[in-house]
Amino acid sequence: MKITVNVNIGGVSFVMDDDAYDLLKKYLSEVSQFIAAKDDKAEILSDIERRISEILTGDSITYLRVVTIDTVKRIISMIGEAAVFGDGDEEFTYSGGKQSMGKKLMRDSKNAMLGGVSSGLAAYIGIDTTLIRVILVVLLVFGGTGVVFYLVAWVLIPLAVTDQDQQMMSDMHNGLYKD
Amino acid sequence: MEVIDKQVIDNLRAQMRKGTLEYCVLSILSREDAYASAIIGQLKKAEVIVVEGTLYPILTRQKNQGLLSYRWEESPQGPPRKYYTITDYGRAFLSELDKAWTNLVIQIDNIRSGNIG
Repeated sequence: MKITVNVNIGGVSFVMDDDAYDLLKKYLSEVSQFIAAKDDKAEILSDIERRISEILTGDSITYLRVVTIDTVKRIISMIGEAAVFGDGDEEFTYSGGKQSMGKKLMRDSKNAMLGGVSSGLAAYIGIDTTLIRVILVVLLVFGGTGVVFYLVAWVLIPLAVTDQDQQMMSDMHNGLYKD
Repeated sequence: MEVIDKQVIDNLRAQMRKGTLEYCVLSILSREDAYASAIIGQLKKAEVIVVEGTLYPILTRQKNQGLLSYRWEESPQGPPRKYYTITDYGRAFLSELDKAWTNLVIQIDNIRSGNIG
């Protein structure tokens, strides 16, 4: 035994199981959030409601029967997850946004020997890491400036933490990052 | 050899389709008036779309751009249907898209066959 609800979908009355009703209501509110064009929202939603109503009345399995959660799931798979109502550009903004972002000086933990200062600096300038390390060692031998420089840099330069930063780091190393 | 990243391919295909979907809708409506489900049926048959949801925002946008108009018709069962018609402006627009498409196909073919210059 189950509780049912009476609902009006696209101007037609249906009896739904309450879990089916909850799922459909959640779906429609998600769709509403995803629709990018604010002015068109009401119209698109009513088009979708009418489509749902059409599927429910045109289908001999569901016609004049209580609408179950399985039917709602089938309808959602036909119409598509709420995200398809976004304008679809979101998935591409990562690469687009990355290009417009300036290079960042970061410490590179992945290729680090100590604090990742040399590797990060090399990536930023676009030269080989070994060259930086050689210069540091030379400075270390002649008076120890290298040590001071390294420690200060270690403290001041942030570590590349996020995926995006690490991606940028690897692109800089490979000479793929242009800003 | 590296494994082809299916997700990257899917992304590119989605981008290619996105641009052509509006063209497909106008093209379908240039032959006869239709309501959303009928348009969906044709797009699905041609394997241009997988889920229906992508179509509704396009129809509303094209109607607001003046490319389409619509009328209501009673349905034998279920809710009334919204029949879309292509406008004169829509037809003029479509013929520009036809030209653009033909050109694109020629350009891509030229590149693919190395037949440039």
